[in-house]
Amino acid sequence: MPAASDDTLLASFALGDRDAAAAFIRRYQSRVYGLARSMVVDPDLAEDVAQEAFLRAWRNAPSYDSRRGSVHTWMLVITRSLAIDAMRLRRAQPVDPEMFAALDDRVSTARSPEAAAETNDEMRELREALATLPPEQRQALLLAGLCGRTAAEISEIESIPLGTAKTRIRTGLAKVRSSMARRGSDQ
Amino acid sequence: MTCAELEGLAAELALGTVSGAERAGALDHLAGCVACRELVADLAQAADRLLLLAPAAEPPPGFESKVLARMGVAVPSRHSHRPRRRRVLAGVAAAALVAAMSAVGATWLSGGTAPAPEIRTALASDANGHWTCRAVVYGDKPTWLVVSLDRTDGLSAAFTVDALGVGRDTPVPVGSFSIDQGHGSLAIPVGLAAEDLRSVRVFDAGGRLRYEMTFPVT
Ligand SMILES: [Zn+2]
Repeated sequence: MPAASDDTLLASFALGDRDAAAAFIRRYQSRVYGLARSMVVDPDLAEDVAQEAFLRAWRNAPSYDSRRGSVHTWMLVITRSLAIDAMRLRRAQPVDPEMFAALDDRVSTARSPEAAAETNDEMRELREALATLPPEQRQALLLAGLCGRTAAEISEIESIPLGTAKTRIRTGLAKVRSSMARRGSDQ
Repeated sequence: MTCAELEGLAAELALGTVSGAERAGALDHLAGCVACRELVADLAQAADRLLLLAPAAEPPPGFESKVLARMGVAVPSRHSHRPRRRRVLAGVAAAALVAAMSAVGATWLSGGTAPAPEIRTALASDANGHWTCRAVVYGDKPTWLVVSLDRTDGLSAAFTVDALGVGRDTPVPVGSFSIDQGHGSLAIPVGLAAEDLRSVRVFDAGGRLRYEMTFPVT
């Protein structure tokens, strides 16, 4: 039997089909746990967040709207929200500098092996948009977007005024957005 | 919060990093301001896509079974005999099913312990796989019917649906739906018990019968 599509798998998962649930978890667990790690840093808390993300997905499957994005993105949005909640409840651990450097490296070079291997046009263009941002904007955007850090936390991490942190986040995201919009209007 | 203040916060809202009173103020403004809502939704597309760049990492061993246990889904066992009819769900168009589920309620989503709902499916498809129309019926008071059509030709068109009951000659009108780029579905309660449904018919805008899905006799 061919692999089920993401949407079909989600439906069977939501209905409590054991095989589908196991397949669904296997399909997304490394992405969900990976994002949780990037955000909360602590491995135990990241596992809690990842487990909660699957439970929330299971309960909220009816709210999944395929027009708004893939199941993959939806899972990550759920994970982000839970990770940020968890960080607000417990004091957030500092960003792991090594992990962050690796993350920044991965996205800052459009010529990295991963970028070269990227077959998805949208993802390649996202990487390119990030690679062309000034490093301080890219780092602020990654700290907010992939590490769940608030503008206030970023101003502390980078030793910059709060207003500067906000501007970097805003400008960085706007540039990424407009690169996506350009692609949209090309088609 | 004013529109200008909201605008200054839009990126952080899209990234999900605003909390507390500031978030409450922003949500309050968004509830009453379409323009700001659209701005945040627009930025959220970019913010959500960023998440795909997060590095993957394998969770600790046992992760999958912990989640399954918390879901209340039975631990795998050679001796367990799951009701066979659950299997049919694998083929159901997810969007339609998911749309219908929200109205059915959570009671029968509780997995292993709840009795499997009675589900019947019927299919119409052509030999070349250019289109497939599915009808799925389940539930009781109300009985839910989900009709989904997937065509590979990218057609956008409107269809109407009716249903025939066992021992009845008069079709029951069900509703209408449209497909966009080949895909579309309808999830709707019908005034027939699931076991009394004989077939579901789909007509094009000109009233011609295009698909007829006959349920296997129970
Ligand atoms: Zn406004």
